[in-house]
Amino acid sequence: MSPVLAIVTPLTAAVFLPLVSIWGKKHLSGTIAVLGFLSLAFTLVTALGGWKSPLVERVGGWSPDLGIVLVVDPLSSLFLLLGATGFALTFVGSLEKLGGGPWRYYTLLFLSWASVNGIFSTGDLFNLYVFYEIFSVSAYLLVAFSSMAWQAVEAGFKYLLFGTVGALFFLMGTAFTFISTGALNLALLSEALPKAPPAAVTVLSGCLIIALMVKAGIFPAHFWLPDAHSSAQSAVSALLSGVLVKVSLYVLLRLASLFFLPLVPETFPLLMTAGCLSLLAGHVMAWRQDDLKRLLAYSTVAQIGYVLIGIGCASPAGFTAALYQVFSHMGAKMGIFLTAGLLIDGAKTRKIDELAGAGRCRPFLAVSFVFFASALVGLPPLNGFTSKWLLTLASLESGTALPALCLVAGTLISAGYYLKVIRSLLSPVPGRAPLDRKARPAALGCLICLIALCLVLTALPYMPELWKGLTLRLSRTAWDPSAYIRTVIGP
Amino acid sequence: MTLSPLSLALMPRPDGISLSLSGLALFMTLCTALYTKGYGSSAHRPSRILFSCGLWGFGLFAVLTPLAADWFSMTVFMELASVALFLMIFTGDRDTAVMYLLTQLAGAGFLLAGTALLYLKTGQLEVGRVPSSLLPWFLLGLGIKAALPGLHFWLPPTHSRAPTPASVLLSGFAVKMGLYGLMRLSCPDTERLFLFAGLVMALYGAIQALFQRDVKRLLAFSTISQLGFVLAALGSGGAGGVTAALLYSTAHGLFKGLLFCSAGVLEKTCETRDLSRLAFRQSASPLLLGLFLAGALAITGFPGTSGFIVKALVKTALKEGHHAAAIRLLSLAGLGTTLYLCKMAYYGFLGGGGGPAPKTARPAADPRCLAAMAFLAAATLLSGILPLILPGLLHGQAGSWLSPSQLIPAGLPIIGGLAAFVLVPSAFRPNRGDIPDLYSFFTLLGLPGRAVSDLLGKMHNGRIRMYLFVLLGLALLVFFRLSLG
Repeated sequence: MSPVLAIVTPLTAAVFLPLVSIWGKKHLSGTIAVLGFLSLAFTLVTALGGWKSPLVERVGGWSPDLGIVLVVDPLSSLFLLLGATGFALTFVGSLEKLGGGPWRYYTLLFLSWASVNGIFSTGDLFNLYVFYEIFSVSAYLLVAFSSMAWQAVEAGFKYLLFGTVGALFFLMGTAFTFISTGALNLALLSEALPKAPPAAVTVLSGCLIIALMVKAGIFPAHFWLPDAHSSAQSAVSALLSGVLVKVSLYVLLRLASLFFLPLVPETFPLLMTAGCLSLLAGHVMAWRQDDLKRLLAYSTVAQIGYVLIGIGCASPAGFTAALYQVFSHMGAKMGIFLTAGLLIDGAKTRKIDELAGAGRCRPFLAVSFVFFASALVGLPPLNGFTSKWLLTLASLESGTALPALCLVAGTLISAGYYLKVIRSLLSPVPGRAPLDRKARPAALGCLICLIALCLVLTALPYMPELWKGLTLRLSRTAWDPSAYIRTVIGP
Repeated sequence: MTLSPLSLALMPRPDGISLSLSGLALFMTLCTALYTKGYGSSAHRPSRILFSCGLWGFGLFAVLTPLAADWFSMTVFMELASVALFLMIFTGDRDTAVMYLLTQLAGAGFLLAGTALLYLKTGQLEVGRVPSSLLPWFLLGLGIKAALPGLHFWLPPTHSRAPTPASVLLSGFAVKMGLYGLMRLSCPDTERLFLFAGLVMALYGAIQALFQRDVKRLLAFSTISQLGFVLAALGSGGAGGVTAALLYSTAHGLFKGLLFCSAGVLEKTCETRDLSRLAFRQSASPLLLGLFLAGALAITGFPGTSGFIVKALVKTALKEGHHAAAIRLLSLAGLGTTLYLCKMAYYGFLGGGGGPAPKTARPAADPRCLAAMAFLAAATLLSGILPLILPGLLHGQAGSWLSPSQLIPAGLPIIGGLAAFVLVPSAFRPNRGDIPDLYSFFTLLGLPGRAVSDLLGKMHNGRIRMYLFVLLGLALLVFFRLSLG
């Protein structure tokens, strides 16, 4: 199965939808469902194929030094799976809430799915940049596409500004790479870069790291993130926090194993520091919020910090912990954003105080909020706890106790602010007007899927055989680039 | 190194320490469940469900905690037990519940970090002694649970404001989980620390308890004082130190549970916990009074109760370790114990000190509460009488229990305390406010945190110019750091 299809299908869908909206308005939601299903199927098949044995596709038959190569190795296929889950749930939720009407919105969703799949499977630095830009532009517009007009537009503008700065840094890094080596293929680069002048390598890795920090919303380059994630519609917020932020983390992981680890190991303490700062600042800022969605957005800043701590350990254990945290956060944060969205839609307010009693009228949502919040705080034995434990182990192994202390502080602060929300949701408020309780079976289904995902993630490390095989496989691909290089340019 | 899979394991062959603490956890949970039936809980159905989930969840994880084979499993079970107790407290007092959960999460976090370090250092996690370089992590983590001096700030407010069944479990078992960990840790390195901490706690708790008006707060400080006895036994360095600590904590669980139960009945029937107001009531029914007295006599160490045996064991252990001064200080703490219990009995149950004002009657207590208390009292008395009539049950001290050399040191603090209470009653009237404890100090510690949070808040002022400026600074910093190489 060629990875091309996983990119082309959603891309075609994005082009096809405007045509359908002109000639076949009646069939719009059906078409979206079918195209979404096709994209999902192709992505899943690609991911499965890449997990079994790495897939390589030379686009147009060109050799790696001239053309673009698409590579799906186990790391890519894990992220493809993550993207597929997130996009599928977003499509289901959006179709139920908005119907097929706003076709522009679905076009953007398909476009961003195509570019995300592209980023996960491309093996070429410049091609990565191009996909990154498609992805960013569609994300800016998705943020601005909301009913809360001026706030969303402002947030989209801020995102655009910061995204452009990040993209510029990325482009500069790519240009420097090309100038100093003459190659753009990632596998070829990892062999050519050691021969490049060290000063050039320092500058280009600096550019790439800054770009990724901005795009991933890491403190202190996170200023766009809380606005963007909170002003969008809840389904989009869930997608942004659950999947789209992880795209930058994938690129960071990939570049870390290919370039930074052998060439510029100084980046790792930097990433660790940034992770700790992000964690503390994100949690403290979340504590200060009175707007539920902003609170969750700041919590995302903190949780991305956890991933950075894992990467900053610069060890197989750290990379595995970072990957586990990526998945664990995706399940829990998407779930809590969707739950919060349903509560907010019902109560027509985002203020935590005004949501008082909202959980009492809708017990299932209250239970799911508590579940996802406990997973994010890291109460045992849920997945957040496991990822905290893995991160603690990995960071202590790398010889510093500071991240472990930050994790303890993070647990306390996050428990504090989630309890604040839960207390408000459960508080008895006499004489409150009945809330809007439109039944949303598909959205509830999505929540159940995410709860199941969290439970599977929770159970996984307790199955020794499976877990050992999985971590071995992952640390071999995420940590050791030689397999990747071999797959692309042959032995 | 690849990451080991996680596992939750129980000891294949649990020893006496684990088994007796597990048994205590089970017994306390069952008694509390019965007590709760009579005590009555919230009229709101979800609250009731939450409460019973908490109760039985606590029972399950409290039984599992001492049986856990490794530190990781123990931390997990302990944290889950804390969450279960949090649910119970949450149905009563939400602020207290949040405060309780946060302190326990902090303790579990330190313990988890210590566990991770232990694993990296030794490659195994078995519950037992740890290398001395890791002791600070473990002592910090377990010290919060066991309310070591300085880390005890959460205990008095939690114990006093929680619903009574939760207080019973808190004092009866929750603090013992931390003590259990300390028992497993105890080694020559920790002796001095434990002895010192134990004496500080025993005296500080007794002095604070003496001047409380709130019955449950009085009992909370009494718990700190009694935990001090246990720690002193652990730090004695004598051969019987760990046994004495184990038996003392078991006995304390039973009689302190009983005392909290009686405080709960007082609160329920008289609708106040304030000793100065309870004084205007008629004296309590003989049954309630008798059950209370069983607990009160045990805690003072009256011969024939479990308290007598365990206090004697602690003193024997200290004697073996040649700590004569420590024994004297503990006797002083014992004097304090007698005094604050006299205060609680006289003003709370006998309706003393009310003056000429007409006294109002007390409604009868629920029989199920009294039944639960009777079970606890029976266990206290039985465990006190059995070693007396069956010498050899606790080997080493056979036959010497009723000798004058044992009875006189046990009797002196009781007689001295009674005499002091009768001779200078005005000193112990429940008419003053709370003496400040460390709790307010710890809220002061939040101030720097608040300053940081305000600073961060100011940073997020919505000015894009400023944001871009920060971004530029970050970029320069990254380049600078990387160019250092």
